[in-house]
Formats: sequence, structure tokens, C-alpha cells
Amino acid sequence: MMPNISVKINGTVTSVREGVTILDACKTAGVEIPTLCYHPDLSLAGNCRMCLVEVEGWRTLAIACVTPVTPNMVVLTHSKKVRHARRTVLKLLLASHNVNCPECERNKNCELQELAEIHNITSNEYQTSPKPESIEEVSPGIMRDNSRCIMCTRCVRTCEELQSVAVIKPVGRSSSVTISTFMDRSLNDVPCTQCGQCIVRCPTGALFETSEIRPVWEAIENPDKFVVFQTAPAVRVGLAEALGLPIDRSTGQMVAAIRGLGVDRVLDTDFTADLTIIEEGHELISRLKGALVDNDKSVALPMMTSCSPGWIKFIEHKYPELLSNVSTCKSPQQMFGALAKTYLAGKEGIDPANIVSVSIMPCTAKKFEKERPEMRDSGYKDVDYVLTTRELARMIDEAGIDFEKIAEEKFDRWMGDSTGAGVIFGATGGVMEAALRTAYEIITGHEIPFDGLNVEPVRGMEGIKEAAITMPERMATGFEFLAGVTLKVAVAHGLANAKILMDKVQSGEADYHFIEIMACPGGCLGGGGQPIPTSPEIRQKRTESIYAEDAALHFRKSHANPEVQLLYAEFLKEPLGHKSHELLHTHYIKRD
Amino acid sequence: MSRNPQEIVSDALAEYGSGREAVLQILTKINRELSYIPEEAVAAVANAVGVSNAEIYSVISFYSFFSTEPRGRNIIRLCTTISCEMNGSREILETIEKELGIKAGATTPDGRITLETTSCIGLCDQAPAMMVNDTPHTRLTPPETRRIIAGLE
Repeated sequence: MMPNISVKINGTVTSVREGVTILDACKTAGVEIPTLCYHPDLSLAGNCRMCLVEVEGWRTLAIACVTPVTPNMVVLTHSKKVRHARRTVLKLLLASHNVNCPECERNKNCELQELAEIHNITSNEYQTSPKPESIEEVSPGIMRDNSRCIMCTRCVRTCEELQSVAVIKPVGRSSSVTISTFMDRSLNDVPCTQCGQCIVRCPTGALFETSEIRPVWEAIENPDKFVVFQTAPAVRVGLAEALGLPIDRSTGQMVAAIRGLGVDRVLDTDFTADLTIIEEGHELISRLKGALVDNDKSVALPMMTSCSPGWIKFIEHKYPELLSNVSTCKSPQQMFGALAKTYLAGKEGIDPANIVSVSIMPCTAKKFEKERPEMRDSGYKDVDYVLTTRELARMIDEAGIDFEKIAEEKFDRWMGDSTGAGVIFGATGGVMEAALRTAYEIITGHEIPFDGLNVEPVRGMEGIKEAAITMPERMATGFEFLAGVTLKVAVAHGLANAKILMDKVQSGEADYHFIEIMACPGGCLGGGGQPIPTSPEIRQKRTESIYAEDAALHFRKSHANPEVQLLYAEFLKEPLGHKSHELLHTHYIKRD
Repeated sequence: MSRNPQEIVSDALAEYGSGREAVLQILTKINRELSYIPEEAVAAVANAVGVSNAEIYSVISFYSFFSTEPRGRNIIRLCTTISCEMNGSREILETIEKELGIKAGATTPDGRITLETTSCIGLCDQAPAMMVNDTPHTRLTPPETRRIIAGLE
């Protein structure tokens, strides 16, 4: 550990650890430094020059985010020289930026705009050339407009460091650099996972989701359409934040606000999250039986979760030889879509052709997932539109709904019941925990032996988590083959961590039975459709909200969901049954 | 006759290894042999080095001597920076364009010559200057330029 040293910041002596950056030292001293390329989730770049400070005795200004402090360093953070330099940096950035704020998705939530305001940039002598043309590039989940790009490379570092995908890079040299792809292709034609992590770290509006707000309004306004919304677990811990309120769970207000938009039914993706657990739990048990009892070599273990469409696209591109390990269960969104136009249509007595199925997701890859050609098992497009948490917030704002004051309401029936197990799908480790709560009980006949059903080893922000649960000697009838077996599981979030796990699986180094992967850091609560900005602290708060919601719910186990029980009794008959295979399971394809 | 890209990539990897630090040497070899770096070669290098295609493409795009588009057997790079400009590079450019029937940035239909303009090549004292492949030509005049072009295979 480095020793503590004294530095003087704006005349005040502060004690900080040697080797920390000037930026960190200033944070410790409570002095704010403006930044743009810096991001707490990413490596240091030091390319935007927004954080310049003056160091006594130095000929030039120092880049605070990358310069380590040295003993007795004297730092000035708002001297005349510093203020002048920062204003120049801002003006130069603005001169090559497409300053058309009212048209921008990030208007009023833009770091560049905010800094321009703070630094009082009212005129710009560098704005001599015409503004760059707006150039839009569209893929199902992500849009790019490089005319708003300031070359901070946060997206590039996100794609490589957090996701090990690395499809976007600086291309060209000097003033002609753009953030681009291999051979300048569309994001559709490179192995982009559509996770949207670049979007939530972009300081400006150069990256944003492909919006579907307009067709959703049109469906709501069309009296012939029966509009059904489903809301993903993580949306309820992100929506308040997206509306400018403190981070907190807001399930009741969310339901009321969506109903206030004029939606016919407000239902819950948590319902199909619980359903996923039943199907996936049985699939796991059946795979274990195949491998352990029948010695069937065609059974692929470890089984891997399939809820996260960014992860699915990732494995289709990078590890196609492991696709048989992926659970055949559709994601909760797609299970919901398939049931909305079959089961729900029947229950409500509505012609499925008139149902418009909309999902609210913390995710941009969900927009891609719904377009997959195989996702039409209901006979129609199972999910018509996907809105991010941010898009829903925009609709609520546009409708003039006062989210803070609105009275809480409950989900509609048939596909609106949820359990705590469904809710925790929104956090990394949640699917694993929910699966363990149910699978353990099915095979042993007893509740999982964790205090308050909280499977702590799979919770938390560690990139890769492992747990081992040894089955008791006495099992429920039919599951004796698992007596005394130690079930090994692993959980990874962020695709860079997924890659580490997959390499281990591929080399035979890992002997897990079940693996949960979420494409985004923190799980869905840190998804590419969630409020901007994101940071470890923000994701920690959203996580706490998720587990608070779980703890507060009456039912905590997926198999206890009354409406899921009804669905099996009336419609599906049994897990992994004929109807399930028709509507709830899917297959994957190898992608280049 | 040029060899197939895969073969060249294999040779380059054998010669320079597959570390990230070898990327420039590998790309230089491919570019020299084929006059450009085809898409399949980018993918092969990326795969061998263990980085994304986009990263290799990013490196290629930084260096103007590298190209991902096919180019001629000979490459003329005429300097158009200020000293050469003041000493008549514009007239030289017109001469070459007329002689070859192509504009700067293009390649003759027979694949013989690619014409490019370049920033300063450090021969300001002998302006106007150009590089033909790896050879500098200085104090250019239109007749001299025509003679140089005629001598290219």
C-alpha cells in the first residue's frame, strides 16, 4: 500500500494516498473537476483535456484524470489559466459538434451541454465552419450519429474492456477520425451484441436507442387495438431515476403511470420470469438426469441461461460450438409475447390480430431479440415494440403525468402476478438464485437452506461468482439420482467476464452444472436501456432496490406464483410439455 | 504473380509472431506483396493476434501507406504541401492526371499505377517532389514526370 502524502489543492492541504490521480485527490478534497472522457467503469484515456489543472512549477497544465499526485504538489483548479484553457477546450469541442440540442435524444441529459452551461459558453469564435451534417446509422437497438461525437472513446473502451466485443474503434487519423467499425460497416453487419452499454456511457447524444415511441403512441391512440404492456424487473428500479427522481423502486407508480398513458392492460414480465424458472429448472433437472443417470453424451452441461439477448448474440458470434449448452427457454420477454397472443387473448376474449404487445425493457438488445424471425410462435409477431426505461420516461413526461404524486396501482390479472424470484432477475445472480429456490425445492421437497431464502453467494458485484450446493441424502421421489450430488454453479455479468467463463468451459477447466450470464455489468439493472449515467455506485443502489422489492413481496419462489400455477393448470398442462415446446422454447444460430 | 492472402499472412505470422507488437510488421508485409490488405487478411491477422477485426482495421486506417482497397502495381505519391505547391506541384498533378487519364486517388484500369497526393514528404528544398513506390523524385518538371511514368512497369 502506498503511503499517504500531503498535497495542496486551492490553498488547502489534503492528505491523500501517493499515486492516486489529481482528479481522485480533488474528489477527496471535495473539489469538483469537470471531465468528459473519464468514466469510473473504464480505463483512463486523458484525451478530452476537460480536466486540465495548474500544477505549481509545471510549464504546462496537467491532465487531472491521468496525472498522479506527488508529495507536496500544489494544484490550482480554477486559476485564470485553467478557466481559459477549459473554455477553449469546450469551444473547440462545440465547434465540431452538431449543436442542435432540441432535436437531440440527450437534450438536458448531456454532459457536454451541461459543461457548456456551467462554463458560461454563450458565444463561440471557433464556430467558423458549418455544423457537421447529422449522419444516422440504424440497427434494431442502437442508433449512431457521429456528428454529435466528441471522440472521448468511452464507447470504444466500454465495448472492449467491459464487453470484450470491440466492434467500434477510432478509424482514420487526425481531424478525419471517426468512431467506426470493421470496413465502416453498419452495426448490423459486425458482431455488435446490441447491449447498449456504449449508449449509457456516451457523454453526448452520439449513441442512443432506436426509438419506437411513435408506433406505440399510434397503437394506444387506435381504438381497434388492444395494447398490452409488460414491464421488466429492472424497469421498476430505474424509472424514477429516468424521471429525475432519486433511485428507488416504484412499481405501483409505474403501473399507474402506464395505465395513465391509455394502455389496455399493464402486465408483468416478472410473471414470465417465474415461468422461465419453472421451465428452465425442469430443463436443468432433465439435463442432469440425462448426464448422471442415462449417461447420455449428447446432453450438454453446464447449462447456461438464455434471458439476456446481448449474451445470446455474443455466444452466437463468439462461441457457436457452445450453443447446445444454452437453455432452450425463450427469454421472459419472448415467453410473455408468445403467451399474450395465445393464452391472454383467450382469457380476454380478444382477437390476437388486434393485440399490440409492447415491452418496457432496461435493454436495447431486447429490440433486436423481438425482431428475430423465430419469435413468431403465436402466429403473429410475439412482441411488437420494445421501449427502454428511458423511452417510457419520455412518454410519461409527454403525457404530463406527475410520477411523484401518482397513487400506486396494481398490475392487471392473468399475467400480472409476480414473485420476489421474478423481481431479482433484474440483478446479476438473480436468475441463479430464483432457479435455485425452485429447483432445490422440486428435487428435495424442502426449501433451500439459506437464511430468508437469500442465496448470498450468487449476489453482489464480483465479476464472476461461484457457489456449490450439496444435495441432502434424502430426495423427493423421482430425484434420488441427485442424492449427495454437489451442484456447482457460476454467475458472470458483463461480457468480458462471460468470455473468461466460456474460455474455461471450452478448455474443460470448469466443471459447473449451471451458469448464469447477463450481458450487462450489474445485470439488467445496469442495462443499456436504463437511465444515464451509470456508475458502480448507481448500480449498487439499483441492486439494493431490487432486493428490497424481493424481500417485500408475499411470494418469493417462482413456483408459488398463483397465476403461473393457473397457466399450467389451464393451458400449458406441464413444464416442458407440448404447449411449452411450441410457445416457450427456441433455438439459436451460429453468426459470423 | 501475387500469392494468395492466406499464404502471405501465414508467412508473416511465422516471421514476426502473433503478438500485438508484430501487427505493423505483418500488415506491412501483406501491403507490400499485394499492394493492399484485403478483408480476409484483416480477419486472419485479427484472429491470429487475438484482437477484433475492428482493431486491425483501426490500425490500417491510421497509416496512409496501408489500404484496404486494391491499388496499382506502382503508387505515385505527389506532395501537395505548401513548398511543393509554390514550386508547381499543381502543374505536375495535372500532367500526371492527363498522362494516366485518372484523377488523384484513383488507379489506372490496367492496374498499373495508383495516383495519390500526400502531405509533406520532407523534400521541400527540392520541390516539387513525389515518391514513386519507395523512390523519391525531386525538382519535377512535366517532361521529367512523363519520362518517369513511362518507365513504370
